[in-house]
Amino acid sequence: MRLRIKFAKLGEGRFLSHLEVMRAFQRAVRRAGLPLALSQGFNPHPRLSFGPALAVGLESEAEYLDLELAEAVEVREVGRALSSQLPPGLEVLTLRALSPGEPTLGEAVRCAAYRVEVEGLPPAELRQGVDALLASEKAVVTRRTKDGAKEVDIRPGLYRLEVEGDAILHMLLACGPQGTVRPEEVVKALDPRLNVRHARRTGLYTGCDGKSAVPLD
Amino acid sequence: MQEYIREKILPRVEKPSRYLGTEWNSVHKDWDQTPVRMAFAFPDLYEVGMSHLGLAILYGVVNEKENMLMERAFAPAPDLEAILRSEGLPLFSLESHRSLGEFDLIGFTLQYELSYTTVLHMLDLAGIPLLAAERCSDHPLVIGGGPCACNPEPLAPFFDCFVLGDGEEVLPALLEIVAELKDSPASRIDRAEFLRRAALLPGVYVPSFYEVDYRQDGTVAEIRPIRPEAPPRVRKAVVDDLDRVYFPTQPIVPYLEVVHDRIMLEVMRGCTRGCRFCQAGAIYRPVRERDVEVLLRQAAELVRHTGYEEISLTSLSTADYSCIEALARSLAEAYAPGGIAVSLPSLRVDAFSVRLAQALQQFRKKSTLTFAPEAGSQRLRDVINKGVTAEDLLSATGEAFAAGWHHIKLYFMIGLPTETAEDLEGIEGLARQVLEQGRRLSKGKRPTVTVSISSFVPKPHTPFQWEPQAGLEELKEKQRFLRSRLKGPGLRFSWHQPEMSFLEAVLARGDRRLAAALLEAWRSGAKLEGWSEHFRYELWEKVWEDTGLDPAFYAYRRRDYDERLPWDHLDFGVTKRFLQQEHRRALAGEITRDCRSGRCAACGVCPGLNVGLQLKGEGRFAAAD
Repeated sequence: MRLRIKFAKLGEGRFLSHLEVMRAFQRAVRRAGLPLALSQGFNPHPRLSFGPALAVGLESEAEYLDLELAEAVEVREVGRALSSQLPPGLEVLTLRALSPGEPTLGEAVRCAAYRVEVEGLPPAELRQGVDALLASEKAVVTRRTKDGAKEVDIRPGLYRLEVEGDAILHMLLACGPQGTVRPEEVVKALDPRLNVRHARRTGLYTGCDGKSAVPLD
Repeated sequence: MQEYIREKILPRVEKPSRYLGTEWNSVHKDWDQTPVRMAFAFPDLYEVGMSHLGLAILYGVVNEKENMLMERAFAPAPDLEAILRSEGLPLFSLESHRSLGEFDLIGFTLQYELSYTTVLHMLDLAGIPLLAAERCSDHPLVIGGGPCACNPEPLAPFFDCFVLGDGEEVLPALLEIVAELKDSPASRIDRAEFLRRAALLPGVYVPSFYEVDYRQDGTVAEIRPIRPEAPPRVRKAVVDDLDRVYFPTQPIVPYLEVVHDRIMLEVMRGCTRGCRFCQAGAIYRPVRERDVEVLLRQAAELVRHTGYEEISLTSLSTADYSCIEALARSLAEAYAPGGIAVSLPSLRVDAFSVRLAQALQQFRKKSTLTFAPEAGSQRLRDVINKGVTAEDLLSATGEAFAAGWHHIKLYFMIGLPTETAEDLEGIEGLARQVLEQGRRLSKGKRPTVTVSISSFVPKPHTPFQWEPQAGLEELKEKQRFLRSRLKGPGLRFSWHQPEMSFLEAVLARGDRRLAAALLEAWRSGAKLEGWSEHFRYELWEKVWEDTGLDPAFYAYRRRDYDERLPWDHLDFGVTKRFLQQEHRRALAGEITRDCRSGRCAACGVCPGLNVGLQLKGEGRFAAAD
């Protein structure tokens, strides 16, 4: 039985790296005493697969993982058992059984939405910056990878960008095999004076055409 | 402060999970309602400290007491240190993010000599005066424990007291004194009265209750108790029954991947092998094993409470545990189907150990098996009483190659007493023999043999405590020789900085005068010196110059048997007479049998500490025997 678990990573949970979140869940599913399906081979381990990585420091109200169980268990029961074993900052939101053949998280996810609080620019300039960025055809930022710095055009992966109030940005960004744009890269492209105060992933989606996005749940 | 650290500090550090303090099974007690508050300080980074079983034991045993709490503190990584300094913030505990200065007591574990400057560094970051004499009732008491407490003299002026030996029974007793002396949770205690009462507990050493006189030649003349409470010799505390003593079954599960990231199931304490260079083998005597039933129960609870995927059977020499096969089999049967592995932390040099490892299917992802013959010739292995022959090694590695391992790592020491060129050539010889064997036995693979060299450090309470350490130049020359010989396909060579071993040797057998050097080194910026990237020997060269202390006096001098040693007033059970006898036997190349064999070597521990060797099964003695 495959389950899709939607969870939140809020408050102190934002200090965990993607790897640390994975380790925390691996141990929590063991403590929860669930009938885990183990991988074959010399080093059998629980079959957990996670959605796209989230950087240290970011909160999220829409993280996902797929879990495989060796036998059918009532979904609500899994949620209850797992919730009681999660450290503070990680919280199960919803669960559902996956039907056979349903795409994996890696196959399904195409874009991600973020809510980003910024500081460092007067509201009017922030709005102008957003308009200018949306009007441009290219937006090149430097991305540091393990092979060094490289220039990337993030404009094609910036699907939506809106301002709320004086200093809150809502973004819909590419996230998947076609490329991934990070929210802090958008902020950097807007204006070098702008800083991220707080960032939260608010949703993961399967399709993005700029207007409609299909949530994963 | 908690809010500030979480909102303003943690977002700026590289690995905030080091300082979060909310890991699974961490204990957060009500500060205001708990009268006795202790911080356990590990003078190294989180990932090293959280791998330490002693921390888990003491954290558990203290937090189980209703009137006591223990929180953790570690040395900050350089990024956090810079923030603390620039903002003028004190070093804080992980659980409540309080300044260490707010605790009643700070307990440092002294695991290795090169962490001493980090102890001073952490006290300073917490805003606590380094010298015990300069602290007053507003400050915490600073106590120490762990293996280096067997000669804590270089640290004596910085500490209020030390706990010698097993800490899990003494520490709660020590904290009970704090409870008795407190009027209310917020009040501070009378330090003098605390120390007076503490000195009466078994295993507690109050250094300020002793005065040391020195002779003209710099050696110790006398160590005099100057208070009626202070016994002439402080005997270590020893847990007499490991089945009945507390063992933590809900240890903290770190977020961050730490060095030993697994269940540590302590199968026994102590080791009776009697390797003459080994301090742990001397100071943790006698061997006390845990019952298989107790271990199985603890393992079940640990698995349930942690969710770890590996159980490591921990001790100084796990293959010697008399019920190891029964235990390993039961654990594997219970947990292998659930994908939980059982592993051994190190392998004894014999085929039995390799078969055991293979049966446990351990090192499944690790492709290297490690053995420690320690010396290159039978003569020198007899000198150090290693009790291992070339045949033992080759039968172990033969078993390993046949079972599909093809990378072997061999640990050796250089600079051992009586070492000659032939012994070094013996290292090369063994490495090549193992490599040849590997080529014969591992078909289609390219076996490698890695020789890892460390420098011998003479340690207190061992038969080699009177021996000089080999000089730096000599050690470097020997490394060069081995490096030049251990070249070619399939051979690898790795070594440690001999300067680190030299400093370790100076501090290990140091006296109280070395406190001045530690202070000066700390002032010059020494910290985290166990990490080669942080260790700066130039700094110490200047320290010797500025303080006028001579490191050679401590590292290179051969002591007479009748010299008063700086740690002679600390009694770990092993008698000086036995150590002298062992030293003489070493120089004569005579081995001394493990007392598991039933033959008592009269080390003095059992009668001296009023405990006995505790074996649970039929003594499975060395396959080599």
